[in-house]
Amino acid sequence: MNLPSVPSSHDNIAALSSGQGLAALAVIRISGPKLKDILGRVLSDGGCLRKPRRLVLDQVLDESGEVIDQVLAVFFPGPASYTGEDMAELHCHGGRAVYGRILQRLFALGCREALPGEFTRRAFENGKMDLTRAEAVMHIINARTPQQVKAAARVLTGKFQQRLENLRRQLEEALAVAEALIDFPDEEIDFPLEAELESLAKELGEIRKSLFLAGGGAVEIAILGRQNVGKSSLLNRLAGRELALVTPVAGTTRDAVRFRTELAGREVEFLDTAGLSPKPADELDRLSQEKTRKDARQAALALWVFEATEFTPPPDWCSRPILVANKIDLLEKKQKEGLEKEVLSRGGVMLSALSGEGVENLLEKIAQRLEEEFGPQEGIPVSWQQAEAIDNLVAAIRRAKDEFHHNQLLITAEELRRAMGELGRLLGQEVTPDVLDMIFSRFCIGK
Amino acid sequence: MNVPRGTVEVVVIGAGHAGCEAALASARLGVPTALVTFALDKIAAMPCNPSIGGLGKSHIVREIDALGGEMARAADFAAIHFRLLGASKGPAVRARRVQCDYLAYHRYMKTVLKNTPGLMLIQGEVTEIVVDGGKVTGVELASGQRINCKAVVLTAGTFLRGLAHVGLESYPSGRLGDRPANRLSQSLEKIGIYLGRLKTGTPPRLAAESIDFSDLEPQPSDPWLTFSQEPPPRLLPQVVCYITRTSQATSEVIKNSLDRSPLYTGKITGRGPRYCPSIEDKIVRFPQRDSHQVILEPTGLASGVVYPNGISTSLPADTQQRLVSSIKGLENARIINFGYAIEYDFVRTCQLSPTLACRGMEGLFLAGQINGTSGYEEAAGQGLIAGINAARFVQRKEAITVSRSEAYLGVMIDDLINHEITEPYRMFTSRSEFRLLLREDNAWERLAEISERVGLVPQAAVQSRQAVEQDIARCRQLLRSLLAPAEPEKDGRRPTLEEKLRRPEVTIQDLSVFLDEQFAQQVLERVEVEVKYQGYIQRQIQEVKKLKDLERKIIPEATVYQDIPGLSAELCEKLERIRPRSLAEASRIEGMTPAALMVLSVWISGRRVPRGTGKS
Repeated sequence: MNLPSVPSSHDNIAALSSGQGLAALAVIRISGPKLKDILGRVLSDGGCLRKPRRLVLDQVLDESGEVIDQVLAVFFPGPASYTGEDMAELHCHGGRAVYGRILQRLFALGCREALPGEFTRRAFENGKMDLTRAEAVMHIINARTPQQVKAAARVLTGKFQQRLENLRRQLEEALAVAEALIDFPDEEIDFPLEAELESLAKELGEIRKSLFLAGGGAVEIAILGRQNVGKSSLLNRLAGRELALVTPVAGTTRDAVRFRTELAGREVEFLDTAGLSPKPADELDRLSQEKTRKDARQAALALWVFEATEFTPPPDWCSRPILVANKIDLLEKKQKEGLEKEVLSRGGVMLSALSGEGVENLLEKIAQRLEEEFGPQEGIPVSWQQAEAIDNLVAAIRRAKDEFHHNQLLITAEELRRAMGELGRLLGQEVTPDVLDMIFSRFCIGK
Repeated sequence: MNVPRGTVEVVVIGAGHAGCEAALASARLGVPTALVTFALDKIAAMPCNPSIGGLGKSHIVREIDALGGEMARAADFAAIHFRLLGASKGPAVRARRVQCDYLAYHRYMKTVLKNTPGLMLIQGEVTEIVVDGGKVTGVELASGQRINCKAVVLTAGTFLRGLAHVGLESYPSGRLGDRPANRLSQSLEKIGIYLGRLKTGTPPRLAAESIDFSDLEPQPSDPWLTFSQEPPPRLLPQVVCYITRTSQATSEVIKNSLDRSPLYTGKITGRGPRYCPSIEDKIVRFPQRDSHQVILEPTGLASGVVYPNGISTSLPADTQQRLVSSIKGLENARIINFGYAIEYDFVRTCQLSPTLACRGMEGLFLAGQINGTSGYEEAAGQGLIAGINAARFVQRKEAITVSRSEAYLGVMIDDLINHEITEPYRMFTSRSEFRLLLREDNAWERLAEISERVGLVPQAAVQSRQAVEQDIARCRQLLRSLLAPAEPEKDGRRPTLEEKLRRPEVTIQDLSVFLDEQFAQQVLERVEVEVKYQGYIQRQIQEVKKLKDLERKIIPEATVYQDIPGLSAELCEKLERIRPRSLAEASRIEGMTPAALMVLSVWISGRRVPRGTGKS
C-alpha cells in the first residue's frame, strides 16, 4: 500500500566524497540532469561551467548571497564524466561546518543526498562501468551499509527512540481513523481526529527542538565583545590551541573563526567574531561588524566578553548573553570582589583566558543554559536524512491538520501517509502499516 | 443439447457477476462463447446485499463501464435507491451507491445475454475441465456431454465444495437454495490447481409487511447520478430505506448462544472478512458498544423482502428469531430466510498471472469470488478482464493488463496475485497509493487507451466520451486564460479564474458565470477537482512515473537470487519464495531496502533482459 522509497534516476544527487571529520579539504560530488542550473545558482561566478574539466576558483553562496566558502569547482559535462551525466565536484575547506552548509544549500536547490553506491549505479547504467566492477563496488557498499544503518540506529536509543515509537503509534491511529472515515462514511466512528493531529504536531515540535544536525550544524555559541577584550584568547583557550590570531592590535579578527567541540553531551561550535565598536573605523570594519551581528543572531547562545576592569553592557540586539568578565589576572583583589557581586548576580562568570582561571565555570554555565534552552541531554545528533525527514514530517502533519479542518479528508489521509513514510525513514525502517488491520482492530465497523 | 465441435471457443463456467461480464465480453469481441450455469433463473443473482457501489466498489463499476462491460448499465437500470457517499468530504472521495431491485437486475442481465449474438446459454453442471498437455481442450458436464473449446473462464463463485452453516447444522450448498459444485473442485486439484478455504456470511431476510417502520429513521434517496456514461432510461421508482439499532437485549441473546455458534465453536474453518463481521463478531470483539446500527433495505419493489444490513449471522435458527425481535421495529418481524455462513474453496492466487490466466496452463482463466474476492463489483471487474483475455487468447492477440497506477481493477489484480489471501478481498480506496489519480470521475480518461485497444465500447460512445474530454480541456483552457473580474492585482497582475478557483472557499459554480460557454455538470466537476488538487495530483503523477520505471524492469524467471552478490540471506529467501516479476513487485516485499533494489537493478540491467509484455 505504501510506496517504496526507491531512488529515482532522474533526481539530482549530491554527497560528500571525502574529507569526513577534520580534514583540510573536502570534496562534494554532484550529479544529475539539472546540474548546470544548480551550479549556476550555488556558485557566485560559475566560471567552471565556462571552462569544463578545469578546477576553477569560485565561491559558494547561501540563500542571501553571503559567502559560505571559497571553493575550487570543476564541471564535467556528460557523457564524459564518472556517472555519464553532467557532474561536478566542489573542493571546499574541510570541517563539517563548511561542507555541511554547502550540502544544505545544494539540498535547498533541488538535490537530494545520494544513497550509498548511487554514483556507481549511475555510472553502470550509463555504460561507464562494466558489470563486474559495478558489482564489486556494490558488494563493498552493501557490506558497509548495514554497519551504517546500525550506526544510525544506535544514535536513536533510549528515551528518544521511545518517543518516536509513541509518535508512530499515534500516527498510525490518526491514519487509521482518516482512512476509516473515507472508506466507511456511513459508520459511527467516534474519534477526535483534529485534536489528535494537534497533539501530534505539538509532540513533533518538541522532538524537533531537541534534535540537532550532526555533520553540518551544532549549537552555535557566538563570542561577542568590543575589540581587544580577549575573545580570540578565550577561543584559543577553549580550543586548547592557537586557532584565532591574537595580537595586541585591536581589531585583528575580521572574519569569524570557529571551533567545534563536545560539551556536556552536545556538539557545540564556538564562534569568534570581529570586535564590535560604537564607531567603525572604515568600510571593511563596518562590514565585518555587520557580519558579527548576523552571526550572533543566528547563534543559539552568545557570550558577551568584556574586560574585568571596565564593565561594558551588551548591545540591545544581543539577547540574554552570558556575561564573561575576562582578564581577571589584571585585577586587584578588592576590584575582584566588587566585580563578583556585579557579574555573578547577573549569572555571569569571571575568568582569565590567559591563565585559564575560571574557564571551567564558564563551561558549566554554558552547559546549564543549553539544558534550559534545549531540553534534557538526550538531544540527539541526527544525520541529514533524518533531519530532513523530521522537517518533512512536521510539514506533513501540519498540512494534515489544516486540510482536515477544511474537510478535505483525502488530503488529510495522503499527508498522514506521507508522514508515516518519513517516520519510517527516520527510524531507519520501511514502515508499511497494514491500514486495514489498524482500522478493524480499533473500530467496530463494516456490515 | 448437443454442441457441435468447433462451434464454441470459450466456455464460461458460472453465470454470476463475473461469469456474465466474461461471457458478454468474449462474445461481443466476436468469439463464439458458451455460458454454463446451474440455473438460468439465477443469472446475475444477488445472494447478499442487493446493492452496487460504495467506496472503492463504485470506482470499479465506473472502470467496467469505461472498458465496455455491462454492470454499470445494469445497476443504473435496476436502481431503486441512490446515495452519494462522502459528498461533504471533498470531491475526490465521493462514491455512488445504489440499492437494486434484484429481480430487475437479473432480468436485465438475462435479456442482454440472450440478445447477444454468438453467446449460447446452457443450463447444466460442469464437472471437469479437460486438459491435455498443459492446454485446455474442453469441459465435461454432469450429463456426460462434452463441450470442446480453446479457453475456459472459471467463475464458480462460492460454489466449490460450498458448505452452509446455520447454528451447528451444516449442509452442502453453493448459495442459498442451490447445491454446491463438488466435482469441479476435484477436477481442479487433478490438473494441479491448489485450493484454500474461505468463509462469508449473510443476514436473515425479513418479510417487509411484518416490520414496524413507524418509529424508525427514514433514509430517502439522494439526487441521482448514474454509473454509466450511456445509462439506460430510468424507469423504476425510488424507495426509502430505514435505520434502526440493536439493543442491550440483542447483545444478551447473542452472548447466551455463542456455544452454538459455528464460528465460536470452531466448526467453520475458513476465515471470514474483517470488514463484514457477523453480529456475533461485533458483540464479542466490541463488548463496550451497547448498540449497533442496522439499515433496513428493500430487496425489490414488489419482493416484500427486506435485507437488514448489519446483522450477518450464522447462529442457530431460534437464536436468530430472538435476535431479530430484540431490534426496534422488528419485534414482530417474520424471518423468510435464515442467515447463514458459507464456507467454500477458492483458488490460491499465486497461481494467477496479471492477465487472470492460470500460470503453467494454457487457456484457463479465473475470475470472481473463486479468486478470493468478495462483492459483486470485484467479481464483475475480474470477469471482464478474464473474458477479454480469453477472447484475445483465442484470437492470438496480446492479452491486456491493467496497472495499479491506472485503475482499481489493476490494484485489485495486483493485490490478489502478490499477497496471500486469508480473508475475502474487498476493495477499499485505502488499498491504492494513487487515490488522487484513481477517481470516480476520470475512469474513462484513465482507461481510454486500453479501452480503444480492446474495442468493446461502441464507436458512437467512444466519440461522445472523447467529446467530454475535449470539453474538459477547453474549460480548463478558458479558466487559465481568463482573468478574474473584480480581483485585486497580485505580483503585478490580476489572478486568472484558475488561480481564483484554487482558493478553498471558491467553487466552480461561482466562476461558471464568467465562462462564455455552458459546460455540463460532469465537465465542471472534473475541472474543479483537477484545479483544486493540482499540486497533489502532480505529485502522484511523479510517483506513478517512478512506479512505471520499476515495472519495466523485468526480473528474468530463472533468476537464482543466491548468485547475486550483496543480498542478505533473509532477502534472498523471500525473493526465492515470492519470485517477483519486476522490480516494482520486488520493491513491495517486506524488508526490501533501497540498497538491495539497486543491486537487483544493476543485476538485471547487466543481463540485458528483453522488455517483457505480460503475456500469459
